[in-house]
Amino acid sequence: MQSQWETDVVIIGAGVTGTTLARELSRYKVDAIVVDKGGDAGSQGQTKAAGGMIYTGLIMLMSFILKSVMAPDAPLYDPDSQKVKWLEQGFDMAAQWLEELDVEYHRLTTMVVATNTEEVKALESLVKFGESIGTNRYASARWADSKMCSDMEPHLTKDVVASLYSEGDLMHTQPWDIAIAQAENARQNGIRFMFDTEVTGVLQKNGYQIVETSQGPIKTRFIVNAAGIFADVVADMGGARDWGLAFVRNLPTILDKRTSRLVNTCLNRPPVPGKGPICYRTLDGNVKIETGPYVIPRDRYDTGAYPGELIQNLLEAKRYIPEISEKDVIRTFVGMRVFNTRDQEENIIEPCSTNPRFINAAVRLPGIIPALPIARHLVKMLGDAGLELTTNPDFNPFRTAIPRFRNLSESERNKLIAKDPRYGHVVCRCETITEGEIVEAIKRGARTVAGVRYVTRAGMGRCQGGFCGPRVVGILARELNIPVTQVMESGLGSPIVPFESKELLREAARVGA
Amino acid sequence: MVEQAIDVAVIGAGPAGLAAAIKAKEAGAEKVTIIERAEQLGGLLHQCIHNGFGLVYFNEDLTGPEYARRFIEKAMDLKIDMQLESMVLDLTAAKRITISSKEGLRTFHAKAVILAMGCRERTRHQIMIPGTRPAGVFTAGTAQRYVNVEGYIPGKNIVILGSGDVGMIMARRLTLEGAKVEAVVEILPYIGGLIRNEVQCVHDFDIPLFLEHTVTEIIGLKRIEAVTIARVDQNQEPIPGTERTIECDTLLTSVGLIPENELSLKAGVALDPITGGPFVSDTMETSVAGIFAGGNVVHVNDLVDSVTSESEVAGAGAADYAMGKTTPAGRKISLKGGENIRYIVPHTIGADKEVTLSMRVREPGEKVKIRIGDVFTKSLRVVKPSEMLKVNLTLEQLGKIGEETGEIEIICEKRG
Repeated sequence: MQSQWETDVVIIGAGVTGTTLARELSRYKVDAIVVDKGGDAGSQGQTKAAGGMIYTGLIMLMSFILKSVMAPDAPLYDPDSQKVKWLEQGFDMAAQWLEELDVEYHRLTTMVVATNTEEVKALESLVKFGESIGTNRYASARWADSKMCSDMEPHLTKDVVASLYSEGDLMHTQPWDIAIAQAENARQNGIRFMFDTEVTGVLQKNGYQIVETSQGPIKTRFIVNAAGIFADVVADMGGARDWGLAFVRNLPTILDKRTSRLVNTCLNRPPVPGKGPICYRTLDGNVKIETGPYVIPRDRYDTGAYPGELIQNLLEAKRYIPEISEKDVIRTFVGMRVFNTRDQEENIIEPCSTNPRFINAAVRLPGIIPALPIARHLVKMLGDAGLELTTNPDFNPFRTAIPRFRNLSESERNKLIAKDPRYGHVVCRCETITEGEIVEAIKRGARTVAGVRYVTRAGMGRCQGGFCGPRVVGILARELNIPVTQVMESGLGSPIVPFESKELLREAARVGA
Repeated sequence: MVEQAIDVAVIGAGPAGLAAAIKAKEAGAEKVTIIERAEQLGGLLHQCIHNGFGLVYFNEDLTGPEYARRFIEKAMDLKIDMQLESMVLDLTAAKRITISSKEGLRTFHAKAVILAMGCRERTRHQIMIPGTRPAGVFTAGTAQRYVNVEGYIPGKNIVILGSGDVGMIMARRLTLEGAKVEAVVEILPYIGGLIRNEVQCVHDFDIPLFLEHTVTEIIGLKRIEAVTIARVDQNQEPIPGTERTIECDTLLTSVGLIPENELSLKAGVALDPITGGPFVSDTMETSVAGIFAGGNVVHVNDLVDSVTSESEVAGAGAADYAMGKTTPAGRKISLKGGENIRYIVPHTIGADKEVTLSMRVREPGEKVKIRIGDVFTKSLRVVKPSEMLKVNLTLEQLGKIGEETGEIEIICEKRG
């Protein structure tokens, strides 16, 4: 078979796992192609709907306790666990990682509140558990009495009797920002990306493999499967596997920025099986409610909200922040997460048993925190399998984000507009996103409305693109030089406005005649 | 930074902003500036290519663009300053306005400001429709812009949730464009918009109308493939067993409008939680002295004619304020919505100036009487929440208000 493309490594999936690996590989003189069936990096699947929390310490303790639901017999904290090591390393590397990539983040105080004596006891045992581990990392929590709680969170219910809080062990990012930034940086360092490219099969040949895709075959030596919620499907193409995927989902809700004063910290209740934080203020100033239970979906496509689910989540959050109102909801979405069925506590980071040049990277949540150590481990595995790792002398770890007009001072704004007047033209009025930012996003690779939205925030505000939607579609068509009817929401098969004016009438006339 | 002192700044160049600016200029304000984020004047009127505009104000039947043109031409004749493609980034209580445009940032120091930002559409997320989030779900107004301004058709098989005016008008518009409107679905037992639109846009085109129904699920991963609708009970909860699935490639939502007051909040303007707009006096002045408001930013109107009239009041008030002509604060009488009155605009009146009250009822009623304290009564055959009630209070009627009265209750009671 004649391959149009030839490379050393094909990475399947442009989420956080795939893009981190792509960027780490670009430190070496390695030829690699990232393929993704979606339209843009990080704008779908697990990455898009991840919480974006990078944490250790107090919240990590709670997640250790929560996991006991999945694996009741395992020790709460296993210092020898590969997953735990990567989580700790990942947190410690994160600030530098994000700063090199110019990915915005903010630090949040973690607060775990108790509303009765039983919950106070749960907090006490949380402290004891943290101390028992024997490192400062997990012993940073401090007590706040009810007065201090209401000083820290003035809109908190007066039912709170005490809380644990800790500072410095939680950063919040927008998860897709990381994938987008790494894709840009990897591309800048020579990695190729193919979007709208679905992998349909893998053929093993003598000394090489063929990745069959909807855009044609790619000849490669190595393959890394970072296909997220489809990692099992892709793994089957590479060879045998002794693991499967299990899914859980939750339903985060985003509130209008008007309400951002309602919460300052990342607010939690004592660990409850299958539940996340109550709510927190996002990097962009929205309140995000995550309270809802993690539930088992019908299948991996079950990404719709169930009747009653939304209001139930809001009511739960309202118990803690009574001023939360359904009137302030601007968006809800389903977060779909995977576990593997062989060991729900661990990640699958291993070569396929029947195909050593096909490496599976099925990462469970949390997937962003350990992404960098996992990617470095994957690079090492590729090296061990025979990939030559010669340092790329031209590697540049720094990527500069598109100017964020909304965050600039008046003089910086004027300077930017003087350089490019399109930065003075606000297109998305809810989030104050300019035409300059949108055009630059497209120049850097955004190709769909969702792509533009995730890079710039245009359409993420309270009107959800009602006003800027047609304008963004127009700019995409103009910049990509395609008809408006071919502008997609998020990838092939999702056109926004598929027909031109009078087209249906002409069609009907033809059929009639 | 370019800084400029002006008399009256008008934020928004839709029907409200145009009428207010024209009136302010005519009333004597010298430097009147309209700031508009779009590339042209007229606001949403440009996409309202249907007729029915101006029946009250001009006693003529005009299309939206025709209605807009009359005001645009007048504004041009009056040499009102226009800042197009200009976004207001900040507004302070001291009436300092920062705008951004391709020319850079500019600051206006205005003596008076008129808020005329209009309203935005409630989205599917705000009414929390269960289901997936595919392409092909639009608010009716956004679809209207695609069809009437951009020249594109969103789909072939359309379901419309909500029977607001824009929704019904789009049902007709898309039918005329060759699409099939499979259903108009309304959760209430009655239509949400004007009766004339129910007749001319829905019934005349044999579009299936499902009253007391709602969309219970949106289906489809990439592009919408179907919706499930169900009958609702008295509490608007879907009744199990009444679900039916309608295949469609487009869902339009016409489920309410929200006054757009993010800027008002920046300036510290107090908002009425019922209307979503500022509390206003009989000169349409907000809680911040010198900041006035008119049109849908105050409360959502049914007719553009009402938006125009109300904004003219704001324009005159702002001009007086800018010229220092305001009389010292006289009496302020609060209007309180009593039995079956959801809200009244303005919220306060004086006793010395004729005023038009706009109000809405909570529930439909037949053979009712509107009673405004002891000064006014009027019998009405039918009232509906979707049709605004307007009452003019003359000086003579206002004269009947007792000296000590600080609050007047308005009720809509059943006739005995």
